[in-house]
Amino acid sequence: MMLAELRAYDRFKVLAIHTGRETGRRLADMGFTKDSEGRVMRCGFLRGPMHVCVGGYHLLLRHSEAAAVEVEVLEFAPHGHGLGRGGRRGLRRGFGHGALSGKPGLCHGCETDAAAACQDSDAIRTEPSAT
Amino acid sequence: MKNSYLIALAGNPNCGKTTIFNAITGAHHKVGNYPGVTVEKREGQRRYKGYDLRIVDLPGTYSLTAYSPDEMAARDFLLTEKPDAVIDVMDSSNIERHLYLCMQFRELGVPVIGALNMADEAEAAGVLIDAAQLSNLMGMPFVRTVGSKGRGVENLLDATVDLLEKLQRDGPEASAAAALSHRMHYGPELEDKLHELCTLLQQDSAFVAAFPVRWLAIKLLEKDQDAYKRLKGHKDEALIVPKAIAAAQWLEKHFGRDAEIVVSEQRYAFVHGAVRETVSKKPLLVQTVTENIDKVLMNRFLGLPIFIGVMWLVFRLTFALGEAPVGWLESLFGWLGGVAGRVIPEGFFQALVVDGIIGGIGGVFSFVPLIIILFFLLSILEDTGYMARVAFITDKFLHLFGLHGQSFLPMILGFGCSVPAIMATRTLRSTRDRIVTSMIIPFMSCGAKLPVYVLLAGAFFPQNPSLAVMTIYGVGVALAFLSALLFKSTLLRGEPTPFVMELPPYRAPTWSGLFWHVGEKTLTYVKKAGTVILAASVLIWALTTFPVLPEASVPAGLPEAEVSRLALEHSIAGSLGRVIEPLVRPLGFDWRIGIAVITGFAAKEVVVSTLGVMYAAGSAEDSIALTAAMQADPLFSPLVAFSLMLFILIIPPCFAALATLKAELGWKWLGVSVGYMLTVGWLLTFAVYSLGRLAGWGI
Repeated sequence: MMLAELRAYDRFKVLAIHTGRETGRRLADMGFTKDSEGRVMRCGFLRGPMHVCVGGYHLLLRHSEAAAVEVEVLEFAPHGHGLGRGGRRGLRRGFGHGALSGKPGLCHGCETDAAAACQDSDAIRTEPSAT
Repeated sequence: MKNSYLIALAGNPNCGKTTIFNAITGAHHKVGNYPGVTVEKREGQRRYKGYDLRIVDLPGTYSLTAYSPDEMAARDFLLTEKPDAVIDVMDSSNIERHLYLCMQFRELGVPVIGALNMADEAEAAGVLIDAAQLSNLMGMPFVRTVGSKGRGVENLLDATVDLLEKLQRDGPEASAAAALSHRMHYGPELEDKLHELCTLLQQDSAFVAAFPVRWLAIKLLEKDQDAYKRLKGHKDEALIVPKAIAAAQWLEKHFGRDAEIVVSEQRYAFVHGAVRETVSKKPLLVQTVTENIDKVLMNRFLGLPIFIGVMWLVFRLTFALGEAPVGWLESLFGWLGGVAGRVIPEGFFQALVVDGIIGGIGGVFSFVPLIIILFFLLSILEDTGYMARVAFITDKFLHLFGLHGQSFLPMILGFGCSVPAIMATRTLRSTRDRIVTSMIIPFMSCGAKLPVYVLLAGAFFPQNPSLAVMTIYGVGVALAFLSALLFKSTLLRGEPTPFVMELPPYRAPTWSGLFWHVGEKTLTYVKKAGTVILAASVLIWALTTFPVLPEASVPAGLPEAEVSRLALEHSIAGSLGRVIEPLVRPLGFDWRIGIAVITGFAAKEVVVSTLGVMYAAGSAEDSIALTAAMQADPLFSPLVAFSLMLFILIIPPCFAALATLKAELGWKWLGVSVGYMLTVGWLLTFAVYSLGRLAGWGI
């Protein structure tokens, strides 16, 4: 699956970058390397840029660039939240998960330290230790 | 014994490099450019333990590829100036990508000292780095620092001096051997190819002295264009190039990925291992402030309205706060002019000083408060990290026209003044984006054009002057986007530059950082625009004064306004106006408007005062008299007035903006830009005027 197909809060692991030259090199330099893990934080209006967190860094990239990054999905963020809009195009994509669900542990990353959450998949499953 | 050293300060953007630079060098910096590119180069001095350290701040980069001017400038500096050491500043809370860059400095064969910066923030976030262990693994010193508080800077300098002394003691061979023992291993396949290339490269001893061979071999495998160019100096170039290309192709086949990606993955794999062994993280489940702010500011529906609101606030604040100081400066220069008028005897010299020089300098300096306030507010937005969010919000729309999300801010600035706007295009990483953005900025109607629109719209569209002005602004914006599209699909065609950029966490701006930014930008403005505006205003003054009207030819008892009109007609500018009349006639203008257009190159608001003189309406402030005079003139009609507004919008901006374009882009692009603006301005105005006449609009 390509990174461009993911939606907000999905977690992924990078498998390969299928482009060379400047774009490929930039992606690699910024931390999109094999086996690095990350999370989609949000997508811009009308398929504008994506905001992803990979290897602990927050990056912006266009969908056209994300289409060259092959990923393995580690976890689809739960969608719908029983609002009836259903499916992966639910309302919550626009307003952010916290606003509608408020259930900790369902969509990691928004309740947790975003950097830690996308860098270390174990960290987010740990119970809050000292907050 | 060598006691002066050149030290480069390097690191990723947003790692607090500037705070370290300031903490080391104090207040004394020199700002210049790297040779051949408009990438800022800052230099400072520090005397420490009997050594003179010259510190050069390299541009913040993520890598050392040949793709962006920043990275090329950094690389060229390291290769040609051969600094004695590099201090690599890293953000301790996540050092992985910083170490990745660090590896590239080490490949260049330069001794590196790592500054684990922002150590306090990292520890607060539960990140602990075993600096001693990291030093062992990497074979280079690491020092904890907190640049913003100046902590650890002495230790950093100690480590630097120790390293330099050690290198001095051991001599080059021992140092090279030490570097070799900590060299990164790229894996059997790559090492095999590297060894092959290195052996070939080492055949030319002059070449070996000039370039780190292993670095060049790696770059050749990465298919780095610049490395192939540098290879031209090698005696066996014809032999090496095909070998290198074959090696890169073999790697691509073997790994199934592009060679440059294979190399960077190997580098990351090494770094990853080092981080795993030396960095421990306590998982902290805290809500990050940054993500919460982003939920609002980067919201897909709220993001844009908030951004527009912020920009509106910036402009309102700039003009509201700037009004008073601008007034003070204007009266100061008025007073100076008055004093000079009394001190210097009447005549040519008095006129030169009062009208030419003092008037010109006054014109530049009365803008300074606005520039300071504007840059202060924008630096706040920049330093907090909001500007990166703006790129996220605006990129989708701008990308449709081949622009970059970061082009938006300079374009908005263009509504204020083209000079700082063109200077602001430096934030764009790709040269092509920078050229396109700079060339379309003059279409964003600047503040000085507004008085011209207000005068004409007020006189000829009395029912709805603001609609007329808005239309002109709208046409300008549309032209800017269409021109961007045109440039990107003709002169500046090419692969779109990658958008990939970092989203830094929000940070409170520091006062020293803000003062630094504002001071630097203001100085550049005063220097660049000051000299040119001064020269231009003296030139325009001369054009409108000489040859002086002989007193004998003026009938006695003529009102003063009439005399100045005759004098202007008699001057070079008057003759020029008549010369260009055939050119502007098809647009509905006569020679008087031609003069106003010429004087407008000094500054666009001068168009109004020239028209004032031409219509013998007395002083420029007396706009009621001028309005009445123009309305009475059979030449002017709403159509002609609109055409003139359009023409003023599109034709080249003032000399100061042109000088800035030249400084940022060079003569060639200045020529293209001026030619384009003149052509489009004439054609479009001609089309509007002719169509209007045919259709009978506003005649």
